[in-house]
Amino acid sequence: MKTLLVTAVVTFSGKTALALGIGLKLQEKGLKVGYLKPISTQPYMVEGKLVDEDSAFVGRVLGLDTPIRDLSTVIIDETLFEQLIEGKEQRDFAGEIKVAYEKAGRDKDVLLVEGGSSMREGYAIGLSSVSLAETLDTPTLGVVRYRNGLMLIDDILALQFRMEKHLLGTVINSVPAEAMDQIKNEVVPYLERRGVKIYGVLPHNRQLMAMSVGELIETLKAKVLTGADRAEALIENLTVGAMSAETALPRFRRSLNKAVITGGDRADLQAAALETSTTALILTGNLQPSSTIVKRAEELGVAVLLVPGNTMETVEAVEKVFGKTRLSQPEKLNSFKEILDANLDWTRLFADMGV
Amino acid sequence: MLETFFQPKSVAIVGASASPDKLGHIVLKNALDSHYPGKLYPINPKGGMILGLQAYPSVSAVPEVPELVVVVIPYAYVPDSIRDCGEKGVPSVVVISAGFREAGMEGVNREAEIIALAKHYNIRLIGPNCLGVIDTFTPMNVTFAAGTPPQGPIAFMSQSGALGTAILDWSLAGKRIGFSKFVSLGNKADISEIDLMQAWKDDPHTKVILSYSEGLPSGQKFMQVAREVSREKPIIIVKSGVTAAGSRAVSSHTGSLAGSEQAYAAAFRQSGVLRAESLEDLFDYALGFAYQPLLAGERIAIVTNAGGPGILCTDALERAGLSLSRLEPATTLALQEFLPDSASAANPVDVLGDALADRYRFALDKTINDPNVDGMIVIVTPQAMTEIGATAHAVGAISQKTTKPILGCFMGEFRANEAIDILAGYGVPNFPFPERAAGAFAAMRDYRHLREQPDAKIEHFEANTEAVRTLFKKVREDGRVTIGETESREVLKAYNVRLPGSQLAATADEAVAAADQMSYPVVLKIASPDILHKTDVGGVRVGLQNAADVRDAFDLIVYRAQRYVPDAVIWGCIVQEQAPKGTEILIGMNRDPQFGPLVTFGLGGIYVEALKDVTFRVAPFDRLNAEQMLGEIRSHALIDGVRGQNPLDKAAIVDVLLRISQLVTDFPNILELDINPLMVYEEGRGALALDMRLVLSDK
Repeated sequence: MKTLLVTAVVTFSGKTALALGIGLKLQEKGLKVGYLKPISTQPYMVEGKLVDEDSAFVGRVLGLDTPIRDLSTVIIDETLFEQLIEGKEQRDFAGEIKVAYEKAGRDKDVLLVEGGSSMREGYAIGLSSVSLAETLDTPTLGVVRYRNGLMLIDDILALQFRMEKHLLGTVINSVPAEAMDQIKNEVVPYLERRGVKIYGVLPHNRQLMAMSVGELIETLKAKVLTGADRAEALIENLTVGAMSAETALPRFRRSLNKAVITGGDRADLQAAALETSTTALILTGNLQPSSTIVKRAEELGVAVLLVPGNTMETVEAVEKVFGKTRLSQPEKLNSFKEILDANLDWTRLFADMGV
Repeated sequence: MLETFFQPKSVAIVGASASPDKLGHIVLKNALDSHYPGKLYPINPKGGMILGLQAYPSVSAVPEVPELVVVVIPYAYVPDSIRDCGEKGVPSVVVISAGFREAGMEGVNREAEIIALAKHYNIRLIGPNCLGVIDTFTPMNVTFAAGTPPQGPIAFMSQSGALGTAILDWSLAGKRIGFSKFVSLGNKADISEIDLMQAWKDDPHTKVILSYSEGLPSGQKFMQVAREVSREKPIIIVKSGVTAAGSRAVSSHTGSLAGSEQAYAAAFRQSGVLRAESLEDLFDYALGFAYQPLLAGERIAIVTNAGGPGILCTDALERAGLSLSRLEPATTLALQEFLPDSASAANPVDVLGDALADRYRFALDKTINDPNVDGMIVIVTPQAMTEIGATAHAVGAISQKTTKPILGCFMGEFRANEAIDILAGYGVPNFPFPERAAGAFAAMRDYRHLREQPDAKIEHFEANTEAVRTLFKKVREDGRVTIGETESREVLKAYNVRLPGSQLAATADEAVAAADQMSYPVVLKIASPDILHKTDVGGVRVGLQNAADVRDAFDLIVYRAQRYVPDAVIWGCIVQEQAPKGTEILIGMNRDPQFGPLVTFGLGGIYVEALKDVTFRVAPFDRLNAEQMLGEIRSHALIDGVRGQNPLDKAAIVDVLLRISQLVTDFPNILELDINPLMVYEEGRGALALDMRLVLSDK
């Protein structure tokens, strides 16, 4: 059995998505793939037991026969947290994880292990990504999200320093178009010279981050005034309209395929939003907008949603679900697979993994 | 144009009714009372006789094709009625009925339906949701207003019908203001301000066009038509919804974003439209234009029987940028001889409180005929001995003998009313306070300037539009809408706006050659794909004054780079012109939802940010307008040179303004643009654009 630990330097780097993408590719090659997320901080309840949200999703998409609760081992919830700081917790976490690891890898060709969502995660139970790699003695793939050129180099070199011999190499994620040339032509050769393998540079893709109008309607329990047929349309950005229309317009212009949250009585901001690239208008306070606005939105194919909460409450509700890549929609999953095929050197990665 | 709305040979009124409480009844009665000379056809399904006229069940049943149909029936029946008119071949329809865009979603759809029908049948349409139309010369009144206003030279259109009724009521009370035409625009589903301005341009009965508008339908088209019409006669518009809260109300009415206050101001100015800040101003200005000749200069004389109002009037004139006439010695002498000793024979001419009509007559006659006087304000306070009626006759008589404008300021009401009516008989408008008379003269002066502004002669510069198009295409393909400093260099280059020079040099000799082409001082920066942080390796040298400096710097930079980053690939150095310190100017553009590209100009830094000292034009504009922009900002003295400083290179600023005007006109997909700063140097030394940012449309 071959193993690969997928880990990241900071949260929201695209770790789960990459693990899933690799899993699917390996399955395409006809290999039996297993998955394990030893430490989880995103628990929710299934059948009376805490499980990890991401691993449940990966398990489902990979079609694993492993029960969801066996995909994640140590789930850090409030109770465990309290017991830890009070020193009452006496569990042998490393031991538990080793057992789970053996079990998950049984009858598999490749076992994908998803590491902590940052380099710091796991210290609380004495098992950071570094010690995980050591404990399980598994090769590690780092995924690093682009923030800027310098931070990228720092992140990757830090990963190299911490992971030492365990690091196979890294994948650079979410590089904006304007930085792509520099990263590919300057940064990657530089890092390779410093001894870090770069298996791929993935371009930033707004659609992957987007949420659909339908998801938004569901999240907000919104009343749809127009655009019920636009449920599939994607929202890539979120903007709040609380200023004057004159100040709002420049901001609205810079934000594409967005949802604008504003008061139902702010006809000027609604009109400004309709002037620009807007997918949905979310009108707060249950205030009916003017019918000329609704008509114009209808002509432009913009969904108009009415919600009872005030603007602050609505923003909080949307932000909870916004900005996190959800590959749950088949079209998003497919486009992510396409991005991987176009930008990731599978041959090199698989050769290094020994599969 | 649109004659059938104003002088139709026959009118059918759909919804005409025998019961006096119905709107259809009032409209028909107004038509009869206005002595409309053409054929009137009441349309009512019940038929019979209405107000002595034979009624018909439908428009199609009328024995001829009515040139105008007025529709006053419940909204649900309006579409059928329009269809009926269309089948009959009626060219023009006024829809008074309400229940359309102003009345919820169903109303919005209903309005769309009648617009489509009108288009299909080639019908021009006023309304819906309006008061109707009046032409006092035809004469014809097909409104539900209470009465027909007096005849006069003012054509008035109003987006608010109710406001129209108030104005008409006011005109009926005093009979001091008369109208040629009145149109209540209603929802402006078809006919808007633009159509009416065009129609009234050649109307012989109209001397001045007034409008109350909440928003204009098509900014650029409006400007073009207004420019043509304002050459013929003044257009005065009071535009509501200019504050943030006001524009919200407009958006809620129209569903679209209102144009900004600055855009309206610039567009009105460029198209010769006078802006009134209030309804009071609107009619004050209108009175002057309607009844008096146009002010030919800027020098005003005041004749008064009271010192205080004379001084107030002087202040108001001065504040409005008008000047007080310096009377000829001969005039002063004649006045001195005739007036009592304590009177003032200089302007303002004070004939004293005890002046009777005779003294006024003499002073007015001498003053208005002075060659240094372009216009005159006559102030009369009603004192015990004042012969108020005779004085008014004296003013009227003189106004008929002169080609110069005279405005009355008979103050008070109880006694003044008699005089004001007499003045109105002579066509001399009266203002209750001197400041308002001064305002009317200022409007005349403004109009004359606007009218005399020559037609814009848009210059065309050579530009590499293909390069810009390619860049924009690439940016959009990347899924971006913003363009930053580096890419925007290409845009500025394509339009030949000067930038600090920048060139790659592989050797020290090449660097010197490049620097010689630019102007010293220059900057050298290491050019290497392997060196991201140039300053960290000592890869940047600034302030290089001559060829020797450049040569030394080149060698030093390359040496350091090789030492610190041994395996780096080194291409050489980039030689950049170092923009010397000049005066920072801001040139920007923000595409206005109503009027399109609105170009901003101002001094950079605190002048823009803290003092908001900027001025605007709608592009494209010509050299004259660009030059005017430079003079309009409050800090223009800094451009002209203050305290011994040399003036800035104005020609260079104008040149950039014009090139940007062309760029934003060539590329309607540029939504915002900012050159901040444009570094401007002394006269003859040009300007350099240091940074520009663009925002493109996502379409």
